[in-house]
Amino acid sequence: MRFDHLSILPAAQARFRSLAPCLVCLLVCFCRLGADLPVAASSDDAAGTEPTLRMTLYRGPGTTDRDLGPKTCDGDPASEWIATGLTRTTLGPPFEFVFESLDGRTLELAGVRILSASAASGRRLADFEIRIESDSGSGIYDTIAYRGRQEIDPREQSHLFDKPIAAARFQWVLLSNHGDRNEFRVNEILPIFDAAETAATGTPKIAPKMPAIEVRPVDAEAASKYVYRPLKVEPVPDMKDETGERLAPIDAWLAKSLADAEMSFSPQADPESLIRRLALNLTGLPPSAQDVARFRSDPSDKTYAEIAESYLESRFYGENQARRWLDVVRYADTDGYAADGLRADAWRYRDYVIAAFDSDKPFDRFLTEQLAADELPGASPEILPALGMARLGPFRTNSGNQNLERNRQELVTEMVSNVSLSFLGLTIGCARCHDHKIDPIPQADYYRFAAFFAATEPAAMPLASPARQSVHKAKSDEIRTAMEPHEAKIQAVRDRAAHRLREIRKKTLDGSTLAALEKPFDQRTDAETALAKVVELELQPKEPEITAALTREDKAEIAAEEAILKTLRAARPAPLPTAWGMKDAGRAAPVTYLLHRGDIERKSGVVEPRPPTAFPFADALQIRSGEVAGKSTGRRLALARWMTGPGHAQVARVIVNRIWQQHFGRGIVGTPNNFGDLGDDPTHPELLEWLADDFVRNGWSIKRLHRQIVMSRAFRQTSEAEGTTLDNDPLNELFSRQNRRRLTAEELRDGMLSLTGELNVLHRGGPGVAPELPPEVLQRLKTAWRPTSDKRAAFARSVYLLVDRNLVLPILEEFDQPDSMTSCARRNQSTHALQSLAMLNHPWIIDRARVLGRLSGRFGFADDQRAAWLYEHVTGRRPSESVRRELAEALGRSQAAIRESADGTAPEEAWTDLALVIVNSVDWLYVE
Amino acid sequence: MIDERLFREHVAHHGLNRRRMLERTASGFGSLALAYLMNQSQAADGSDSGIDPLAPKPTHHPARAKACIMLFMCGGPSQIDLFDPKPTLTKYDGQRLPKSFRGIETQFLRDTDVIMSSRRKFAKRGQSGIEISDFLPHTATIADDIAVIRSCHSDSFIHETAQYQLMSGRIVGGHPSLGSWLGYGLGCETRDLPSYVVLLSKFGATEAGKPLWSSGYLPVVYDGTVFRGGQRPLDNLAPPPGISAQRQQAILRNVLDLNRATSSAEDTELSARIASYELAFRMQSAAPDAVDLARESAETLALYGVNEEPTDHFARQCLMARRLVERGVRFVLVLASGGSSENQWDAHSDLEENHGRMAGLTDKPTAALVKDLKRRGMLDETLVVWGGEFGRTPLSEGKGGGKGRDHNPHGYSMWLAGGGVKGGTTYGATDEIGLYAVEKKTHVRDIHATILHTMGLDHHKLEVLHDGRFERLTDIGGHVIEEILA
Repeated sequence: MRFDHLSILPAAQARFRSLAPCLVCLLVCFCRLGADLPVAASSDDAAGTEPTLRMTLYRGPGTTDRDLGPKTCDGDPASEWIATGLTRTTLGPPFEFVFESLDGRTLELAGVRILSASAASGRRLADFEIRIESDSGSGIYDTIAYRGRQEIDPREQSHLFDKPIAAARFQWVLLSNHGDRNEFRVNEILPIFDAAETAATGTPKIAPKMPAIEVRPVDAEAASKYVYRPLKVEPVPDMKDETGERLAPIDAWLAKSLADAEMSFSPQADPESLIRRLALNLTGLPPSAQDVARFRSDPSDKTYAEIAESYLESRFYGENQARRWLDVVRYADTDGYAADGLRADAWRYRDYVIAAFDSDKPFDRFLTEQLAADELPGASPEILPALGMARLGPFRTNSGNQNLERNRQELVTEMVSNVSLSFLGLTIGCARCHDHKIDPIPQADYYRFAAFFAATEPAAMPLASPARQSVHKAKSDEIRTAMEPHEAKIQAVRDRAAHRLREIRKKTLDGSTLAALEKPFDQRTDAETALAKVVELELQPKEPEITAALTREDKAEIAAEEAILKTLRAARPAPLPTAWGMKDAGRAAPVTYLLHRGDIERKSGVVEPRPPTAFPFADALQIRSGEVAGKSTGRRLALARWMTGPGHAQVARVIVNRIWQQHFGRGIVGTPNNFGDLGDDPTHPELLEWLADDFVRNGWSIKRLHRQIVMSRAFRQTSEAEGTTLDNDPLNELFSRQNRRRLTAEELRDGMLSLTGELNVLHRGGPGVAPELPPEVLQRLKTAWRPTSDKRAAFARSVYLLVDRNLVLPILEEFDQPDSMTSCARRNQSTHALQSLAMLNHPWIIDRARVLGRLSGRFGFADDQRAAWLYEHVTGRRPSESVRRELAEALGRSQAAIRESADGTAPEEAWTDLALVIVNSVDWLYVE
Repeated sequence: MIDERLFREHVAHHGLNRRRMLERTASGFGSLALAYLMNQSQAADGSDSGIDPLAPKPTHHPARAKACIMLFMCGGPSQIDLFDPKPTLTKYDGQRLPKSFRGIETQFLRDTDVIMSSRRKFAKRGQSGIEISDFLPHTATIADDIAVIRSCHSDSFIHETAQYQLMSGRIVGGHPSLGSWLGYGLGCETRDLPSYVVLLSKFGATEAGKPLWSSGYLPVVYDGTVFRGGQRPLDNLAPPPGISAQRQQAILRNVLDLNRATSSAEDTELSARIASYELAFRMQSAAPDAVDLARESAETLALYGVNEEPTDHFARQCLMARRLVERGVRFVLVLASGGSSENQWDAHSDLEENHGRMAGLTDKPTAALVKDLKRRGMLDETLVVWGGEFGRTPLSEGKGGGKGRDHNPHGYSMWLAGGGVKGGTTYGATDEIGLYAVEKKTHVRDIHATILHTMGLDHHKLEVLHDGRFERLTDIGGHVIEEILA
C-alpha cells in the first residue's frame, strides 16, 4: 500500500478553511517586554483594522508543556479556559507576542480562539508552541498548534522572542480533541511545513530526507514455521470410542496421539466435579445447587449440554470471559507510576469487552473494533470504547524537563507490544532496538508495525450524538461568553493593583536604570536589554503580592464578580461522556523512521507500515479512500483487515489456544503470548490448525468454540491420574486427564459472595468500584483512595472493582491477581503461608463465613445435617461418611473452644468457624 | 510441553532445572505431574526442594552473604555533600556550568542555574581514610567497614522510574524486584517468616509505591511482605478482634484435619497447601517475636537510637532488619524516607536543611546496624547496601530558591558493607564537579550483579522465561565489581 503523505494539505485546508490564509503566510514573531495585554485576543481584535494579533505568552520558571496545555476538558471548552487560566497565575511575567504575516495579512480568526502558548525551556534548540482552538464545523473543537524552533544561546533564553524567527522553521501541528494529555501528542505529526516554498508554489514541500529502508526477506527456514504460514488443515483422523462411535474432531486428534503412546482417555469425572468445572470455567462462579442436583440425578449428555448452554447464555459468562481478556491486555483504571492518575473513562473499555463476549461478537470484528473502531464506516459510538485497547498500558505523567519524542516512542512501543502479543502471540516489541534475537523479526518490522500507529494519539472519544454535542457546546459557549466580562473585570482590578505596586517599586530605581527601562526595546543596547530584563522581573509583583495589595474596594469588587462567576460556573452543563480511546491526528501520518538501537536521536531510514516480513502477503495492504471513516489515515483499519484476513491465521491460532488453556489449564501451545521459538511448540499441531480453521469458517464465534471444547470427552475427563497415566504422561502433554487447578482470585471472591447470596448481580458496569480499605493497606499507596460511596457496589463481581496499578486489592493479591503492569497470559497459582493467613484471618473472609454459618441455620436441621448442608453448599459435593465425621469433630472442637474462651462469644459462632474451615478446604479452593 | 532443548539447558544450569520447571509447571500443569517430576529429579542432585517454592535452593557458587539488608535513602541523597568531596566546586560557586558540560538531563534544571559548592566539611575517616562529610558523623565511625562506590549511574532522573530501576533493574514497573529474585533464586533460610520483608518509613509510601517490592511476573510468593512493629507485624497475622486464641487453634486444627481427610498424602500440591497452613501457624508466633524489640538490651537500643528522637523510627527499622536476618529472612528492604518530598532526601529547595534532617534521622541507626551485625559475627554473612535512587546535581536549582539540588542519575555514591565486601574501599570517581561518573562507571545493574554474586548467584544464570524472553535482573548488562570484594 502507499500512504499518501501529500494528501494532507487539501484535507487540512478544507478543515481549517477559516485559517487557510495563515497557513500560507509567513509568520514573524517578536516580543516586547512589559506590555499589559489581555490574555487572549478575541475575534473582534483581529477583525478590526489592527494588523497584528496579540497573544500573551506565558513563560517562566518551570513552565512545561504540561503546565500550560489543556488539562482535562471532557469536551467542554469552557473548562479548558479555566485550566489554562489557573496555571498562568503560577507562572512568570507575561510576554507580549505579536503575529503578523510578511505579506501584510493577518490570521483570520472566525471561530478560533487561542488556548495557550508555551516554550520548552532549557534547550539550545528551543521549541515553542502556540495553541489555537478552532471550530472545524463538526461541533467539536480541534486544537491547532503553531510550532517554532529556534537556535538560541541558552544563557540568553529571552532572545528567543527578541528576534524574528525564521519562518522556514515553523511547523504546524494538528492536535487532537479535548481531553488528551499532551504528553501523548504525536510529534512531527506532519513533516516540517516549508512555509516559504508553500507560499511560492502553493504546495507544501514534504520530503523525507532519509532513504527508505529496504525490505529484505527474512531467513526462509525461520519463516517457514507454522506461525507465519497459512493454516495447514489435515483430515481429521478416524478414531472411534469403545462403542464404535466415531469421535468428534477434538477427541479424535487427542485420541490419536494417546493411541500412539498406547494410552487412552481417563474416565469421565464424577458429575459433581464436572458440573463445578463447567460452571467455573464458563461463568467464574460455582454451580447452583439446582444445577448440581439436576446433573447428579441425570448425568446425560443432553442435560450436560443444556446446562452448558445456560452458562453460555448467562450474564456471568461475559464477565468471566472479559476478565481473562483484561489480563492479556493488562487493563487498569489508573496510570501507574508516582502520579497513578485515575483514568476516569477506562471502565468503558471493560464494559465494552463484557458486552462483546456476552453477545458473542465475532472475534475478527472484536479485533477490528479494538484497533480501528473510529475508522470503520458507519460505526455507532457504542463501539468507540474498544479503542482503549492499545492505550491500556501504564503511563508516566511527570513534571519537569520532558522529552516529548521519547515519550511518544514509549507509547508506540506499548501499542506495538500489546497488539502483537495479544493478537499475534508474537513479541514484536523485542525488535525495537535490534533484530529479534530468536524469531524472524528484523528490527525494521518493529518500526513498520509501529508505522500503523504513526498518526495515532490518545483521545477522549465523544460518545454523545452530534446533536447533543452541539447543544452542549452552544450552552457552554453561552456561559463562557457570559463569564468573560466578569473575569476581565477581576483581572482589571488586579492589574490596577499590580500597576500601583510597580509604580511604587519604580521609584526606587536609579535614573539610568529607569531610562533603560523606558526606552523602546529595539533601541536598547545589549547591556540595557539585559538590565531591563532583570529589572522587569523585580518590578513585576507576584500574584500573592498583588492579592495582598488589594484594597477593600478592590476585594469587594472582586467578590461581587466572583459571586456571579460562581453562579455561571454552576450552570455549565455536565461534561458529555467520552471514551478512553485513540484516533489519528489526521488523514496523513508523519514519517516513521527506523531508529538505530531504538534511539530517537539516531534516525536511520524511513519505513512504511507493513506487516511483519515473515508473513506471506506482508506487503499487500490496500486502503481505498471512502473505506475509512473520519479524518484518519486508515492505517489501523488496514492492519486489522490484514490480521483477520486470509493469507495467514495466526490471530485465530492465538485466540483458540487461549480458550483451550481456559479449559485445560494449559494451551496446546503452552506459552499463549509467545508462539515464537522461545515459546512452546504445540503439543498437537494438527489439532491447533483444525481448531483455528474451524473457528474462522464458523464466523469466529467464541461461544461455539467453548461449546465444542466443553462437550468433548477430553474436557470431561477426571483429573485423577489412574494406573500408569502418570508414568506415561507425567506433564499431561497428551491431555490424558484433566488438570486440577486452584480457584483464581476472582473465582474465590465472587464465589464466596455467590455462596452467601451477597453478590450484587445488579451491578453491571460503570466506573470501577473502590472498596473501603484499612489504613495499613492504604499506607502503601501514595495517591488518594476514594472509596465508592454506594456500599452495595462493594459486593459487585471482581471484574467491576477498580484496578489500581499501585495496589492490588488484598485477597485478590494473595491469590495471584496480576499487577496489570505487563500482559498476563496465564495466571500464577501459588501456595504460600500468607495466602493461608488471609484465608484464615482476613475480616472479609470471616464475615463471609459468618453469613454462611447463619444461612445454614435457617432450615432447622440437626447439627450433623446442618454441617452436611454447609459442606455441600460450599463445595458442591455431598460429604462422604469420613468427611461427615470430620465435620462433626470440627464443630465439636469449635463449640468447646468457644465455651473455654468464656469471652461472651455466642455459641452460634461455631458455625462461622465451621464455614471458615470449609472455605479453607481443598474441595472449595480447587477445581478438579 | 517442556522442550528437550530447555530441559538440557536446565541441567546445564545446575540447580536451575527445578526452578524453571516450577515456573513452567506451577501455574497449571497439575500437581501430580509436578510431584512426579520432582521425585524424578530429586534423585539426580540429592537435594529436596519439593514443591515448596521457598525451600532453600543450591547456589551457583559458594555464597559470601546469606542475607541482604538494603537501606533505601529514598529521594536521592547528594553525593557531593556526603561521600564525594569536590573542592573544585568552591572555585566555581555561583557560576554557570562551563560550556563543555552543557546539555545535561535533569528533571528541573535550566541552563541558567548555577553551581553550588558543598557547605559541608569532609575528613578522612578510620584507618582507610574514606572521606565522609560531617553530615554523617556516625557513618564516619564505620568507614573501615564500608566500600563506597562513587561512580554509580542509572538511567532516569525521575523518582519512581529510578526507584524501579534501583530495585528491579528497569525503569518501568512490573519487573521482579531484587528481593523477589533472591527469594526465587535462593529460597528462604527460615520457613517461619517470608523470604522478603519490607519495612516502611513513618512518612508513607515512595513514588514507586507497591511495584517497588513487587515480584512482577514471578509468583506472588516472592513478593515483599510489609512488616510493622508490634503484635501484628503483618496483615492477617492474627484473626480480627473477637476471635479468641482457642477458637483460632480449633479452626486451624480443623482445617488441617479436614484437608488431610479429603486429599491423598502423595498429592504434592495439596500437601503443600496443608504445609502452608502449618507455616501460617508458625508465622503467627515467629513474626511478632522477630519484631519484638523488648528482647534487646538497653545498650543495643541506645546504640541504634531507639526511644530517642529523631532516630526512633529508623532505629527500630534497622534493629528489626537485624532480627529478621538473624532468623533467616533473605532480603530486608528498609525505606528510610517516603511521603512528601520534604520527608525524603529530595532536597530541591534547601539542601542544608533537608540533608541535615535526613542525616539526623538515619545516620546513627545506620552505623549501629553495621556495628551490631559485626559484633554478633553476622556482618560477614550479611550484605548491607546503602543508597538512593540517584544523587543530586552540583548545580543549585534556581526554582527552589537556589539552595537545593536537582536529581542526578549521571554520577552518585552508594555503599556496600559486609557479606564479602572489602571494607574501607573507595571505588570509582565522578568528574571534577561531581556531575558525571567518569572512572570505573558503575551502573545499577553492576550493583545488582555484585549483590547476586555475593549471595552465590550468577546474574547471567538467574532468569525466568516471560512472554517470550528470558528475563534477568540485570537484563542485558551487569558485571560484578570484583575490586570491592574481599
